Amino acid sequence: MQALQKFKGKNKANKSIIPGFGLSMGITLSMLSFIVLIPLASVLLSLKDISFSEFIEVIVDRQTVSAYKVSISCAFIASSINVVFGVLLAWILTRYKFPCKRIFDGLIELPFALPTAVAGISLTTLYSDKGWIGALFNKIGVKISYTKVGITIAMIFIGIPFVVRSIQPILEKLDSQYEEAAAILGADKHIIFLKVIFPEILPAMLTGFALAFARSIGEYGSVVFIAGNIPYKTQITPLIIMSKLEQFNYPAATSIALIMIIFSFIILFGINVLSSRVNKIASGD
Amino acid sequence: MREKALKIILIFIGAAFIVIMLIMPLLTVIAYALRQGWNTFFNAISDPYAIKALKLTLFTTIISLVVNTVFGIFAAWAITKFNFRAKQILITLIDIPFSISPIIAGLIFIVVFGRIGWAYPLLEALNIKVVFAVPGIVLATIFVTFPFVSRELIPLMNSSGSDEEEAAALMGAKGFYIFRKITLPHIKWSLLYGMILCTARALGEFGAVSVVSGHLRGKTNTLPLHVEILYSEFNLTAAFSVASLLVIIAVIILILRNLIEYRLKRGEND
Amino acid sequence: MYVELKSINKNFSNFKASDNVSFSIKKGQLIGLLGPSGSGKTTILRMIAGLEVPDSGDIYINGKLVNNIPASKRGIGFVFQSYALFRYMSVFDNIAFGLKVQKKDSLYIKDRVNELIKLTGLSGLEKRRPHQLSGGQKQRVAFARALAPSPHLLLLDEPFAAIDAKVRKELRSWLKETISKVGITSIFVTHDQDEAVEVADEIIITNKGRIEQVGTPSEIYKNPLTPFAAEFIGESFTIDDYWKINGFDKAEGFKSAVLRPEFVHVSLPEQEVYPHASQRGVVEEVSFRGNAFELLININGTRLASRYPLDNKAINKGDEVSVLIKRLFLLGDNNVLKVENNLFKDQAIFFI
Repeated sequence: MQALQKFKGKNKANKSIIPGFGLSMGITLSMLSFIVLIPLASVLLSLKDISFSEFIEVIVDRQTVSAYKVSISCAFIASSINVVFGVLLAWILTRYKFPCKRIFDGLIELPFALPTAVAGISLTTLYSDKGWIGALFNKIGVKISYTKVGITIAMIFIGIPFVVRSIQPILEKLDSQYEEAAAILGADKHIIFLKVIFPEILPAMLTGFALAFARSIGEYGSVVFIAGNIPYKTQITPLIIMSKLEQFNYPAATSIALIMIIFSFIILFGINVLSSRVNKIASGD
Repeated sequence: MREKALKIILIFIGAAFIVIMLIMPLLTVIAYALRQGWNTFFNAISDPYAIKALKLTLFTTIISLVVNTVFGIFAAWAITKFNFRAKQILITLIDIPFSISPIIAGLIFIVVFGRIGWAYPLLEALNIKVVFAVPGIVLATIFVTFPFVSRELIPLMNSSGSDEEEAAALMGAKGFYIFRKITLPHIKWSLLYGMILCTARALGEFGAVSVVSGHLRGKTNTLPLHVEILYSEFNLTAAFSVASLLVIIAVIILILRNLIEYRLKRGEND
Repeated sequence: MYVELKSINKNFSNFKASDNVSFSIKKGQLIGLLGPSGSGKTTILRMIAGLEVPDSGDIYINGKLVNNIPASKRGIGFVFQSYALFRYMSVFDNIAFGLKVQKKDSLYIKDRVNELIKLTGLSGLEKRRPHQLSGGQKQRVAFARALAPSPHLLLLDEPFAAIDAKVRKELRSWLKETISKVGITSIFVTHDQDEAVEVADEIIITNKGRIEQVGTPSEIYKNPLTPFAAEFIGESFTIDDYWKINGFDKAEGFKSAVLRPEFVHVSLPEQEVYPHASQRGVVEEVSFRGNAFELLININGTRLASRYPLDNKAINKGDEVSVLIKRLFLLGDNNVLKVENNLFKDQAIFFI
């Protein structure tokens, strides 16, 4: 019967008895085309005015390359930090009972709900020389706002829910019986974590990392204020595109945008591969 | 004993992270908004430009919400109730806006409708302005929130199968009747959840809107853009006052979201 | 003929779900489509319902070609394997659904639903939701819902698959009784031969997309026409070198044989009655089967199973016994030959 089900999947859809295939597919495809696909494809179209060598020149321009480096390095560090704290938060939220737990759990989603510009100005102020936290660091001579540290902090802020929410369901599914069984067999806590839990959550950690990383690379609102836009130092890639747009240098803006789009597609592909593995674990296969 | 100590340490670290990274930024907004007293606060939020920005934000949000809800329902219906080739590809294509920088989301509409865009001559002839005008803001917002509703519905409708819809169709029920009587009661909480996520993002979208708006005060300024302008004019108190409006909305959304999530989880155990 | 299928073919990409399927069903009968998983039985049912479209061939219901008639206009009731009850509607609303779609007036709907609730013994459960019902009750609701619009033909896809083994027997006889009370022509799909034998007036055996045999349960049991039918129906035991058994000769083109336990007679050597027709074997296993023992006997390397009555003298593992085999079904490539023991002169008749 399973074989039959599989083959049914390849059967033509219009033979289904459920009505509405034409209408729903028509609406889906036309909206997808008009809102997403055609505008995206137009990026390629608009590059016809620029020669290949000019294109290469723009995308390997020194200032642009340093922006890639800032974006990628800060996003990498932020996402790595997020994986550590994401596992920790997911762990305490699934395994421990403590006051305010539900509020904490709800707050994890704050970066999704808070407009990025608000997060941006708020983080910048908080970590500036005069801000509550920035002032403390300023005393020991560490500047946060308008440095890469600031960019990293903003990226941690927007990335944390992705990691926690990737790992949490896996930890919930991994019921404590599993660990109890290992404990009865005499394994001590560290071994249990490393040999039993860690392999189970590893794909989810990677998915969370990739999601947070992708978001951090592309993020604008919450990063732009704290970055300060100092060329070669704190200029991130989206900001380069933005400033090219403000100078009406459209060919340059679209060239760099194309690189970013390709980059995000690669990450999107990676995430899809990873999450199909995560789903297998979550569904217990 | 050691275990208890470990537990306390872990909870302490987690709590510190949440306080420093999430709660303090919220408190900063409130503190700065009120640091020159209530009067300044009320002046900032009742400023005509702020009101206009609020109106535009609400307008944009409502349109995006309607468009994406309609899209999400039809897309989820097409994807989960029928078998066709390239289904996975379609799902991936719908998810594209999630993986694309908001700046690029704005840029693609400039590339289509802006002065260099291929649709520009046509718009010129019809005397329609998209870029640096409200339609561009709406389009960019729809783009960034495009997958929200369908993404919540597809997994749920997939896991619940099509047997009930098939049974109803077999008895002669029409499409919309089946949706209303059989599918909708089942997906209503997920639908609402997706709509709330969509609303949150649409209200707060900054990057994409910033690219296409042109920052015309009173015309193409949304609330987040208004906050940015005030901030860049070093009018911190006003910026944070307006931002606090958005914070209040965000907190309400967060609460609603958690309530619905709670309902959804309970529904699973039914 | 009430339902008739003529040369139906159906492929799911490379998988042949129906291979030139033809059969017909008389009005008022309860038909069991029986076959193993993947044999194409569900596909046949779904094509009759109009849920799948055949690649070629014609389907007639009540003399009318229905190939181009949509499922909802074919006048059929369908009971899904999962029941597919509308989970957000009460039992009453589930049963009323088809009538509401047909825009019947509410008084009629109320009467009709109440009638069905009484028929299916669901009184008192009208307001319950599907998740508050037991498996058997769900099946009754699904059955009532399918019957509500008064279809001419009832199709049931594995109607007992989702029910506990304990309740299943009870429901089988209930369903058979109720269907005959309603008098509706019905086809059900099952992979369980006991179910088919017990419930159906007539069985259609499917295998690999083809129809193997059509007939009443006892016809098929007594005279299987294909090796598949011989092996699939009834308790059977396949042996390879059947010609080593006393009383049977090798027949050209028949490589193995099916043995039914009731045609094997086991006795202690001292009680042996037909020495020429019997042979000696060693008991390898004795297991208690409730109403009899089951013996696993080794006759010079050929193993077979047999029943042994409880009240006979006890037999233990390792004992030598006399085994008399009265009848075999020899299996050819596509045919079955029924042969009697030619050394066994007593023309006793064996009932099943």
